[in-house]
Amino acid sequence: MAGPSHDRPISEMQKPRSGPLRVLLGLFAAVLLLAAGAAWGFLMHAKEVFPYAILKDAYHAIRPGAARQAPKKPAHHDRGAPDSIQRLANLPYLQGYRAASEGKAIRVYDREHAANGWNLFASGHAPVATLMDMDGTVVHTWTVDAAKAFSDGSAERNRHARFLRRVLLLPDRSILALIDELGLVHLDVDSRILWALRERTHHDLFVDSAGDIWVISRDLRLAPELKREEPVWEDFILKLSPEGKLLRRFSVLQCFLRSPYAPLLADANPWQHDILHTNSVRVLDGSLAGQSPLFRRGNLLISLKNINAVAIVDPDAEAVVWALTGQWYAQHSARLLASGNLLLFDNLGLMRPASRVLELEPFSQKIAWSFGGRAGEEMLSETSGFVDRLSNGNTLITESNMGRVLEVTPDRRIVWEFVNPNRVGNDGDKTATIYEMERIPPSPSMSFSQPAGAATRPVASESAPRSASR
Amino acid sequence: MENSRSRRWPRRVLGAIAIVILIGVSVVYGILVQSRHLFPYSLLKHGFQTAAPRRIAHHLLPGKAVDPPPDSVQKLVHFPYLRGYKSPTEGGGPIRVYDKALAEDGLNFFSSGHAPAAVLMDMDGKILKTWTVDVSKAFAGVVLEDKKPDRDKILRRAHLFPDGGIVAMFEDYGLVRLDPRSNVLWTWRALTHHDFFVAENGEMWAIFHEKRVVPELHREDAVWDDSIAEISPDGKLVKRFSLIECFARSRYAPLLLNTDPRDDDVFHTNSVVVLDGSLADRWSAFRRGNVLVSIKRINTVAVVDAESGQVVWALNGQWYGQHSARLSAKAHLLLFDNLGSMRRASRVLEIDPLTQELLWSYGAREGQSLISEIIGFVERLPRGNTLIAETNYGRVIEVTPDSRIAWEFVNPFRIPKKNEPGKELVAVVYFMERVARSQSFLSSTGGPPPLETPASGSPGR
Repeated sequence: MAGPSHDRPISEMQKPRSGPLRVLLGLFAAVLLLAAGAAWGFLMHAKEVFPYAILKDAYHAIRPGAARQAPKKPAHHDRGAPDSIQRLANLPYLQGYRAASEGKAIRVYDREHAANGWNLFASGHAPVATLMDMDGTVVHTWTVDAAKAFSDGSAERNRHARFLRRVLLLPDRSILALIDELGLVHLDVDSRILWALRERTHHDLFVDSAGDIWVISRDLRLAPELKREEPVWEDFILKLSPEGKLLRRFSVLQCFLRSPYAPLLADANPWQHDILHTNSVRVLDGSLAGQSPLFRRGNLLISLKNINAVAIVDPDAEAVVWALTGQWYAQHSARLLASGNLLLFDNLGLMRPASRVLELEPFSQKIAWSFGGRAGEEMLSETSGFVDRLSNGNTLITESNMGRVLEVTPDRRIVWEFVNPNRVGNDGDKTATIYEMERIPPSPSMSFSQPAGAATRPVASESAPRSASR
Repeated sequence: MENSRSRRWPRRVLGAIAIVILIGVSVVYGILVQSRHLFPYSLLKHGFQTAAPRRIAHHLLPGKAVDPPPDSVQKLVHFPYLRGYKSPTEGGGPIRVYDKALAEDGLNFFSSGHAPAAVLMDMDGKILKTWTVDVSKAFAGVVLEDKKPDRDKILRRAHLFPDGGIVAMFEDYGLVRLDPRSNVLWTWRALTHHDFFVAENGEMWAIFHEKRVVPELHREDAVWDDSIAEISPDGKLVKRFSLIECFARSRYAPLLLNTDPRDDDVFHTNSVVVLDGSLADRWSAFRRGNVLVSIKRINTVAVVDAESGQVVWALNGQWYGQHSARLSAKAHLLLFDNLGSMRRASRVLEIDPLTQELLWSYGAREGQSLISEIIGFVERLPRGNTLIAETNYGRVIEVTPDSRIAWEFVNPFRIPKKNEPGKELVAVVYFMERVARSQSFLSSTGGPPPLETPASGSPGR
């Protein structure tokens, strides 16, 4: 408020003569003021505009219990009790979940029975891909400078840029790195950006035998064909040239709608806007086409978490040609083995807080092999999770949320165990999530001139300032 | 001057405080608009969506379930249960098509919405025998708790025995065994529904439900728990098992999470078949004594091992609101898919249960008119034709493997239209089975007995 000596003359000067006009102007100003206030309140809550943080802290100071209780957003996609399987399956994505434990990175290493190679992984602590040998020594790292790759400023706004969701090592020692909701980056061996593609990519990518890149992305769209008034997240499969040029894009949703499996969408959770949540994609190489025409070369095997389905898509017809649900819940990382069996990470199909890896015959639906859920096989990753079958028949299992990776023999013995030494959270009190780990077979062409000091460096314990959720 | 100024000051301060309070209130209101979706939240949202659907922030989306429109399969699948839906068309007898070369021989055994009666009819539409039951006599003293109408007026399912007697099911009353003259031999009281199966040894397997809190579902409210009862030929309960429990203790337990938390009829099991073991070599889940059920609410067909009480196989994905799941002689899955075409068109599907390959279908194509939103029945005949009951509209067709209609029947029985005196509807046909022409009970009584016209219905013209 201005001082009285200045105030009065000005207000006198501007004072309109006629009473009604003055009232009208006053009313107009009041309405404008109120609308602005309401808009501010709306944005404060929606976008955490100032003084959101102060008010939140104040609120939590008054009601300490509320902080841990309800998340800000109404958990509309949850259909069950707080501890229900449905809730666990919808845990937010965090850079870390579990309290950090003391101990070495490599907890178990049975040299005789473990498959030899290097381990490539992405962890929640930093936008870094790490190549590590079996003893836990870092061989090489690639770091994505997201702000440089996506110079439009989108990286600064995107908390997913704090880590890489999926990384893939190419024969020329370059890597493809996927950042959730931001895009795909191709880095050479020295972390120089070769190209970047700005798309709402998520979860997974795959490079086929021709070198073309397949990646999952999504977009928010009104989908009246689903008989919903609300927009839904529509998942897409993108095909890119090795140079990162977008070759084609098709909707996974449409693949279902124009297929015999459209009924799987009819009862998809009406509270869930992310109706499919496609989380893995692989291109079949045709080596199993003799077993079934479904396995023909070029068909895609995808995993759809929110309808608990694994499906085969014919990309030419852009239609689902096969799908299966029933024995797993909120699964990840579906792949076809040389035997024709299906391998996947079943996050919650045991109907209790325990995960497992399932290998099953896709047609008889018989379980051929599994790990997890038995005594001595404790495993839990409510979300994420990754599994790969190694050349010696062992299975490499990434228990993502636990930040732990296991190599397991066919008779379910643990022959290699890794716990992520990278930390996140306040004061680094949490083990960073490991989104996936792949074993790279030893190859003479794959050698790295070690950056100074890197050769004998144990896995770095870089701490990210805080965890993020979406 | 000094006086007026000092008088104005408190007013100004008060005004400023009022303005600050007003702004504060409006800010709070703005917060509530966003968090509680107060007015004008939906207007704003609609505007944003129309303007730029891709740019809406995820967290602006409300968590409301949307009521699906009336033409959606989600709505059609909840069609009301009535005894008739369609006004009769003028002209034409009950048999509209009869190609004697293509149709398979036999007699037709069916029940219809017009009366608590089962009817045996020859291929020309002549009624040979009728069985009727008076529910108030068969189930004397039984009073149903809820108020669903008409359950005393129909036989939902019936089975013909070689001696000329039948077993019939009333919804929510139970099973009743009749001799050839419709005398009641025994009744079995339970909240039976939809279907039962008679095995070779004369034992019956019936679907019934009970309302209870099922811990396996992690729901606090009581739900309808569907069970299968095994009943001896003389009407005694041998054993029973809960289908929800069979799922819960099996590797298919995740399918329980597909049940709708808003619906207390969580399963709505609508068909049961006990496998005779003839297909066990094709696949172990089809071993003798295993039970094939259709569970409408989770769009699933499952095989239950009655001994271990576990689901040993389940499949869903290509159908919606299905009925009448059974295995063909080739171990193919045959079912009536009411709405899996995702529009108002039904189909009969024949699917390889292992590869899920679609081997044959009828309906939802040009020239293959077939629609029954709820209910429906299908049976594969010995020579390979398929008998399909388009239940809701009282029509039955026999279709050849190359999808030609060899025989077509439209129910001549009528029910009075509610609130419109004098007007009638075609009674629904719940099921129709083709039985052998040579029924000893027919010849022993010296030809067909006199036509017994049911009390509450009349054969139309």
